[in-house]
Amino acid sequence: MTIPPSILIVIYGIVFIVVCAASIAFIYHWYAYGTDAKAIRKMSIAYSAIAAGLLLIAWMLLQTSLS
Amino acid sequence: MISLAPDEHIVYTARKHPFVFFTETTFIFIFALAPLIFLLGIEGYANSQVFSGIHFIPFMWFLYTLWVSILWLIFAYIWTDYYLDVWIVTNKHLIDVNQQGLFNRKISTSRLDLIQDVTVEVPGILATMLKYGNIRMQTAGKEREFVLNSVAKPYVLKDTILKEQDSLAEKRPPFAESSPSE
Repeated sequence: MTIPPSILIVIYGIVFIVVCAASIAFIYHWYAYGTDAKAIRKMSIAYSAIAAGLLLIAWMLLQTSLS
Repeated sequence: MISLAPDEHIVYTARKHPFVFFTETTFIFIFALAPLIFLLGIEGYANSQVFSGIHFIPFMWFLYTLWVSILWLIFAYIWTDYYLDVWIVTNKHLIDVNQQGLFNRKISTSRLDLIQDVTVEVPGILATMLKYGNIRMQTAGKEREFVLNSVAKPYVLKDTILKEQDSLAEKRPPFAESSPSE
């Protein structure tokens, strides 16, 4: 069975879009309805940094597995 | 942010105990660690394997990273639910924000002087040791009962509400003494 590389890129793309859309929704909700601005800012930065880091690592691993 | 009147300020903010958040997120750590053990186990065995033009081990790590991204998303979802589900005591009102999922929330507000009865329940040894419990409040308003389960330091919350209720009553001008007509 052959796995076409385009399938992997599509899988990555779907996860990327879901993570980005959810991140925007989360951060919007925290700022809109939260009461502690300092805690919200810390959580927003930590959450975004880890999500972006994971997506970047996944992209690099995708490139490695296809090379 | 919650909008308050100009002469109103937040006195106390109560959330569920962090232990509740911890128990709700335990499965995430288990789901994140289980494939990791499997991956580390097969890494030495299949390091140089190439299937259908794809390097096996980087491919598995790629899938694992996507899996962790999804778990991280679920973690943030649970944190949002925990963080936005809150009781806010101001010097005039009690605001109950009940977050149910991301886009479903219910906000009930009661004037402190309408609160009639406050009940604290600490169920069991774990709740006693970790200092959390359930608190329910009867009011004379439309939303008759306010309930917050597994709240951290329920006695502090109860004392704060009663203290603010007392100070509100002291500030209010006394009712005019009216004698019943005979």
